[in-house]
Amino acid sequence: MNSPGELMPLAFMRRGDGGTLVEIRGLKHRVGDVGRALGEQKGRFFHAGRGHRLEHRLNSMGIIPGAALKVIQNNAPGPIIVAVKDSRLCLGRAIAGKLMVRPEGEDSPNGPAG
Amino acid sequence: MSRGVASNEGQITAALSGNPNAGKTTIFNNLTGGRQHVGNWPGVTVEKKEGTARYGDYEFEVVDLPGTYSLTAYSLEEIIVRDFMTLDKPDLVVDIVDASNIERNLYLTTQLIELGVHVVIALNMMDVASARGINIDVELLSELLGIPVVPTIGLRNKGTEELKVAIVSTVMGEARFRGIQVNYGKEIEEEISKLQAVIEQDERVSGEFLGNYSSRWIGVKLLEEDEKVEEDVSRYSEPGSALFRQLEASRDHLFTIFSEDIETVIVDNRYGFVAGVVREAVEREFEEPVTLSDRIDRILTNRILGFPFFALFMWLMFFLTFFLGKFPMNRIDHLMRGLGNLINTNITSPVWLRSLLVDGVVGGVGSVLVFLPQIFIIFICISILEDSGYMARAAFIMDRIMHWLGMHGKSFIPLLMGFGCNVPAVMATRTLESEKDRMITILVNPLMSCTARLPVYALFTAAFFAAHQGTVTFSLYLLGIILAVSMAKLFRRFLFPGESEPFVMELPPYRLPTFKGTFIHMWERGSMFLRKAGTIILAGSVAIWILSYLPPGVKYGSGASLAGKVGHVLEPLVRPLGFDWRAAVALLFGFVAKEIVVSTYGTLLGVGENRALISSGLHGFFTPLTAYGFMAFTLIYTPCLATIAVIKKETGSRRWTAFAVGYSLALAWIVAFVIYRVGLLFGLKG
Repeated sequence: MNSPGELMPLAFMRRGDGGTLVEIRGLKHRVGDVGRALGEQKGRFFHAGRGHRLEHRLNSMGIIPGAALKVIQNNAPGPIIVAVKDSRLCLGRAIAGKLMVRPEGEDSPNGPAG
Repeated sequence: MSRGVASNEGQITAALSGNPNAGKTTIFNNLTGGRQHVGNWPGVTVEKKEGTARYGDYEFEVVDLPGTYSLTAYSLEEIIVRDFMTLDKPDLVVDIVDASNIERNLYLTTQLIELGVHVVIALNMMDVASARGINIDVELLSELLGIPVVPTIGLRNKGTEELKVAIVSTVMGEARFRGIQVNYGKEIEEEISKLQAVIEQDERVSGEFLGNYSSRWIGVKLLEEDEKVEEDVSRYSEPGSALFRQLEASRDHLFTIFSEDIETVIVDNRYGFVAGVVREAVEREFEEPVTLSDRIDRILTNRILGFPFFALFMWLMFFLTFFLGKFPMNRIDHLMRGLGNLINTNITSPVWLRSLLVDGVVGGVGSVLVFLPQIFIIFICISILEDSGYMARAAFIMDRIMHWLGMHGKSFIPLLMGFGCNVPAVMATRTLESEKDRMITILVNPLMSCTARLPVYALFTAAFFAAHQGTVTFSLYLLGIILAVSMAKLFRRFLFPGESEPFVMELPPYRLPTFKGTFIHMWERGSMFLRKAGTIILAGSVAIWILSYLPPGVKYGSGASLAGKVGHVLEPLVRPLGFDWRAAVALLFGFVAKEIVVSTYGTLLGVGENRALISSGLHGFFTPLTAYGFMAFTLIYTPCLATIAVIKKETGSRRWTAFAVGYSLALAWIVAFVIYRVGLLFGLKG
């Protein structure tokens, strides 16, 4: 299993497990030269990709790096219910696999002692 | 629309904004009482509710804006909210904040303040918050944000008057209003100021565009790469202008400093600001890691138990509908019969008038009105599913199955709502982010058997399957579901290939639905049926009566009447299904609304409202086999006129609307044909 401190996708965490969201993986499309070139071609501003849309939605619902997450229900291979502050969000498996979490010591099987 | 009277002396426009599930609708109902009307936002079909509220001499118009989490330009709802704020310029915005989820809710508040509108917070669900040990220093919160904060408990109508006072005094300029802005840190703030300066100097942008916005807001939005604002600004400013150059420079500069998206930094700062406010003004008596709602979820969304519970709730919904609905139904039936007799004895001449009233109006509309109780019960059940928070859980549970269909759980909610009425169900697909998912969900929605089909099942099962009425009705619901699933799978495979959009949905905490809330909800939808009975169904019944009565002297409702002639023309089309000309006429008029299928028989048979007589009359035209085929046909064929209209509006495409009509008609024919032929093979009487 994971040793403490190692990142783990939320999708793999069990009911009752918690941790801190470190990174939303695979969604960020950096504002790169390609986008910029395209933007200039169209005589408009350059834009980031579509992944932004999802990241934005997650952000506005409280899922930002640094947020404490806790798994309320994990119906693998189905969706997952996660607690973020005072709200409960239902996330599809695909997204839950992209949220990289640093598990909390006490709930992790290898605990702080391991 | 009553927009014209806004901003007169004593007239205030207040917009309600807030997160979904923050209790916006309840506050709206509290403020406006019954004085409201529902329309659509121009050009889009997101529901728009307006109403009026009164306080002393002041009358204000209240506009309910769609629930949003943010004011980015990433969803239609968000754009509607933004546009309303900046173009319609309400005198102020009432931001409904869920006190039990204050941190996430205030994220939107920071953006409303930034937009430059006057904001009053209705700090709602104070009771839920204090039950969870969340104590909020309302006075301090108000000071930290620089805007008035009014504690409310929407469900118990508490704080409504205070909210009205705050609205009036804010508009009159008597209340505290500073609107504390989020500070984005030195570097970003510098760039915002530079952008603000060029925006204000740019003659076209500031002259023609800025009027509606604050320059700070535009600056922040441009740094955030907000597509809508970029597009708007592009209309007034060309690439290479001072504004564009400054923007490129600012973005480059900030990108080198933060080496990540500026957008992310801005989001972080907003949450940071909110966290700071919450730290000061909110105190938690105890941490509640597992709430009651979570504990319920352990059972109701459990991998193993979730589905049986869902099945149980569905069964309960239909059981209540059919079982409880029966009692008032018989009473209405009596009432209608009495009305028919009354007309029969009191209006003796002219004969045609008596026939019109008894056969046409009472027979047609009455035979449908009988189902009012069942329709209302099913709407009550759906309202309870929604208001209790279970609907979102149903979506969670069904996600795996929906996934197999190439959609995700959220598509399930409109399908379930389709059991009530397909019109709101099709509108509910708005919450789906993916255009493809939405199209599929819209196209298969009419296959979910709505309440308008109930009268048809009830009439035919009573006449032909008296001993197994429940089973046969259930089989029709099941047939609809199976067809919807198969069609969804086909459409995904051939018409809208590709992955479905990621599944993200908020699960509101479980709540006990209130009587008032459920009633209002039920009434909003159920009354549509009443209106329909008084308009479309009445008109349809009268039209059929005329066709059955003319030409003069012909035997009423016989093959020689106009109805008979129309029916005979269409008969060859339905002959292979074992239907006669009357079925053709009934189905033809059923295009308008499916209840009319029943009222057609009521009218055609000339037996008026008497269901027993209609039933026995039907035995002349159908066998149990063809009756079942006929019910299946009615279930599947062509969505009713209202549904077609809403499909047209929602898809914005004539082609897809025509497709929805065409495919369901073809499917209905094929299914009825198969039922008939297979039945004949097994020796059933055709």
